[in-house]
Amino acid sequence: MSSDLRSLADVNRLVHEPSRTIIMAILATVESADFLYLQRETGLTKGNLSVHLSKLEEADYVSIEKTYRGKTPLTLCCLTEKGRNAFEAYRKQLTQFVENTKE
Amino acid sequence: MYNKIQETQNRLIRYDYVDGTPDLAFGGLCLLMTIIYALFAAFPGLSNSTFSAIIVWVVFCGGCFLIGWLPQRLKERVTYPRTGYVAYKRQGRPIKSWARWTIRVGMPLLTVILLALIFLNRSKFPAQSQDTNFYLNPGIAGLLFSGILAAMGWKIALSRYYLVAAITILISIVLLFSGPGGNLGLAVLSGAMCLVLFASGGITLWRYLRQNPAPREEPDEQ
Repeated sequence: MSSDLRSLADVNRLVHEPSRTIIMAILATVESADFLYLQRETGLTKGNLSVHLSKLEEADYVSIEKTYRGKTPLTLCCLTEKGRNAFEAYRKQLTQFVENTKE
Repeated sequence: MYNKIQETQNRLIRYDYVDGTPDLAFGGLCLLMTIIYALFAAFPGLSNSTFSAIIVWVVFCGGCFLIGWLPQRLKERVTYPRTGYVAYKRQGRPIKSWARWTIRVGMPLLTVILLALIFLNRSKFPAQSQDTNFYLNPGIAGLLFSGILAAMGWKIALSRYYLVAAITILISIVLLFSGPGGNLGLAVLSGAMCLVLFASGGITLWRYLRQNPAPREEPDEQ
């Protein structure tokens, strides 16, 4: 196995799952986003999105705050410092892999 | 995958403009300016009096209200329940509240003081007797405005701003060569801009509402 491929094998598996990558990419761009926005952007069902967010929350990558806007419940998600670093490291690894394997 | 991430992040940057509320707010500001310039054109004495300084204050405060407060309230009622809420990152260090208030009160106050100083010392300006219509040429103002709109379209990659910029260029060229100058010309320019922005914002909002109907209330689980 070449070193390029070995570097890909070392990627953070928690971030590498496509749905979670999109969730983290969105949250890395903004301060916070609500559940509805994430659901529309990822195209996931409420249940699936909840599971992915729970996994990210367990790893301390995402913080979830349940609040209200007026009478409407609002679930706000934002990336923690640890999550931001993990996503940045993942992005660098992926970019490096793409650059190194260009024909 | 990498392209999908980029695409998602670009869509996120455009999200603030997707419902047309910024266009409607800027259109409202243009309407305010149209009224002011039309008043100046109808009553020439107004533009040379200290009353104009008060009007500048009104435009500044009204503009802050239209651009800052109004789109946010509209989004809370229309956009966030339909397609979700996003809080954008603040660039750099957050501004402290006293600094924010200094800017809010200080800027219009400084504008009024400067205008009053210019008015009181008007006899000392050598260009006073020259035709100031050249400096206030609505055509040039329109071209500058179209440049801002085109830059905005390029920054957020929204083609409708290129179209609005192109229409503004056309209006500016017409005003530059055959339109009225001075306050009347500026009233015509801001009036035309108001119509264009209201049309752009209205169509965008209409399309957004059609594509994203209001969420249905879910029945309670048994």
